Amino acid sequence: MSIRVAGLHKRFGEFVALENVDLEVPAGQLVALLGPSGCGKTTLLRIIAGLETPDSGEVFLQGRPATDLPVQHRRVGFVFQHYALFRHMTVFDNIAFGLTVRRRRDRPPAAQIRSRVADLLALVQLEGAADRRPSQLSGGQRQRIALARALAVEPEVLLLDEPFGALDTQVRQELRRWLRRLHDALHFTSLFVTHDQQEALEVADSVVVLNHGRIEQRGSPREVYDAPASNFVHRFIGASQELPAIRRGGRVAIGQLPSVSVAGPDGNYTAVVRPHDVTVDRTGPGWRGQAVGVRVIGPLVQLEIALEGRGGDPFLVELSRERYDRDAFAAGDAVRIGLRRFDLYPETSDDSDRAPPESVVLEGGPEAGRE
Amino acid sequence: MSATALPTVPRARRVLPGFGLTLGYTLTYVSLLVLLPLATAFFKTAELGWSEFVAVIAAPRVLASLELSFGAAAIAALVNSVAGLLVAWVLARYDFPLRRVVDALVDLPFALPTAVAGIALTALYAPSGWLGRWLAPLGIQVAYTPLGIIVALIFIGLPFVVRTVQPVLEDLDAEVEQAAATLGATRLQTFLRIILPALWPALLTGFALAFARAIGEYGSVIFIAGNMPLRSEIAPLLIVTKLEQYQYAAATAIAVVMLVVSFVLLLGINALQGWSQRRLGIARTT
Repeated sequence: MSIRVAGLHKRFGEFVALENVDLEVPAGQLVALLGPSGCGKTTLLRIIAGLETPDSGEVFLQGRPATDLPVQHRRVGFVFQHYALFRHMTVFDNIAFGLTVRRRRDRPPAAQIRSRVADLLALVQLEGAADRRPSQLSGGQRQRIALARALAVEPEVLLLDEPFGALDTQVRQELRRWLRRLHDALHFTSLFVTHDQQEALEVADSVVVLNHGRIEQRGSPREVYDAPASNFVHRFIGASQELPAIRRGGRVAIGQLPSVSVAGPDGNYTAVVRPHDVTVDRTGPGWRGQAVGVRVIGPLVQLEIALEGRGGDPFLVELSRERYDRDAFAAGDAVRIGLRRFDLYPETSDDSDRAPPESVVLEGGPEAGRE
Repeated sequence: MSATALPTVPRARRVLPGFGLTLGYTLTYVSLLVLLPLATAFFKTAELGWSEFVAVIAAPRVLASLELSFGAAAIAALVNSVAGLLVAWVLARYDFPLRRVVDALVDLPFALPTAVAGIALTALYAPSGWLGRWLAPLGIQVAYTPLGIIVALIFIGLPFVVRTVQPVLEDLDAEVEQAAATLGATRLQTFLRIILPALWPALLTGFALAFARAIGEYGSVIFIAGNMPLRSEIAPLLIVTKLEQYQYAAATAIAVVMLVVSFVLLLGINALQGWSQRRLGIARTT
């Protein structure tokens, strides 16, 4: 177990940043800490690095207790959102810094430092940049130098704090795929913080979702998307929308949709639906509505539908381009929608409620549940 | 037709207009305010022949006073660079009760009439004064010695270093220091290799300002200096003495030497500062 924290608590004045957090990151994994701003993810990362001290709880690195170990001795590589490069040094000196500050007897000879820096520059694909200064590099290049600098000291774990957060969309996509390839090649253990779910789902082996200083869910990207453990995770990861639902005698009714049988206690519920788990047809059973907006976004088509008897924002449906081309819906068209899948939460649940939902999958569309 | 014709591109458009006007204004202003009075000193000095000029300057009393003025100013500016950096560090990095009061106190030497400072320092450091009384048994005499001059110059020069370094310190990115720590740097290494290089340009500016101010300082020094020729007589005082003896040309001759030496030193410091700033990388995009 490369990184382990147990029972971490941290508060800043009245604000609770972390509340009893336990987390393990196995050696060689790339794990994402995902959550909205203020959820405690950066605090957790900084406590692991030793840049912040926990109020209580333990940190273990490579199985050894590290809670009281100063930053300098933790052997962690840390990459900051805003690079934190040394502006007055060349790229070479930046990367070599961690080696040149070592005590004389631990310091590699100059020739060895030179070849190590050259290797790292090749690794981050910036061979010609050794004599440049950080101010002469683009944001993406700077972050790659920051990564090379962190890797130079051969850290036991690599911690990245929103590493691509300050970059343009295109550069950040490129860079995160590159990070994934680099990770596959070198197999360092890394933990990275992000508020971008796309980034977490695309890059990480495993995703840890945090909210209000607590871990909501830990799982593979597919698990946290397909089987969210709580209402919060459901709404935070991927798009979702809510429909009121009522259960009477083991049957769930949602608006004009045909009721389906789902055993459980009677009461009011909230059905949470992903936009791509919705079917649209011109006729047949289902909830009547009118298309009010159509947007073609590359391979996806988004339909906005005003459902009868449902106020508020239009209901969002995502179709594949293929499905859309068969039945070119246009604004103003009368349509019927059905659900392919929804998750039921008790109506009263909120962010602090961490009960898992009841997942309802209707294989053949809404008709499957009809009687 | 004319609607489709592209307008001719004006040469080198600047975002803000009026470059020619402001440059002219700046040159005129600097000339009137700085160059003209200084030029007068040169013209007045020219009344002396070259040999007379050399005779005035080479007089042991004049040489000793010039040496004292520049030497004491350099030592005081050096002391202020170290002490001022510490004060700026504490003010920028820590929050403590009365921090704002201390922050305001730093500016006081700017505002205080220099004579008041001189009298107060003399009263403190005189052999019977509050501090002088304790130093005298140790064989340290401050008042009426070159040491007293240095003390006065340190007093008036402190704000220059603090006020130039403090904003740069407050601006420093804490993450850069944290990055150095994660790479294994000790606090001393972080200070010497990361913080100090970033502070260099500001520190040099503060040094130059404190130094320049100390060279020309008169009011606070003459009370504490004792003004003994060859020992504790500063060049500005000697100029005043010459003026009182109606030796105008001799007075301006000393002034001219001070001007030229100061100008060369400040030019050198400025060049050094420009060089270190270029090393820092001008673009500060994050």
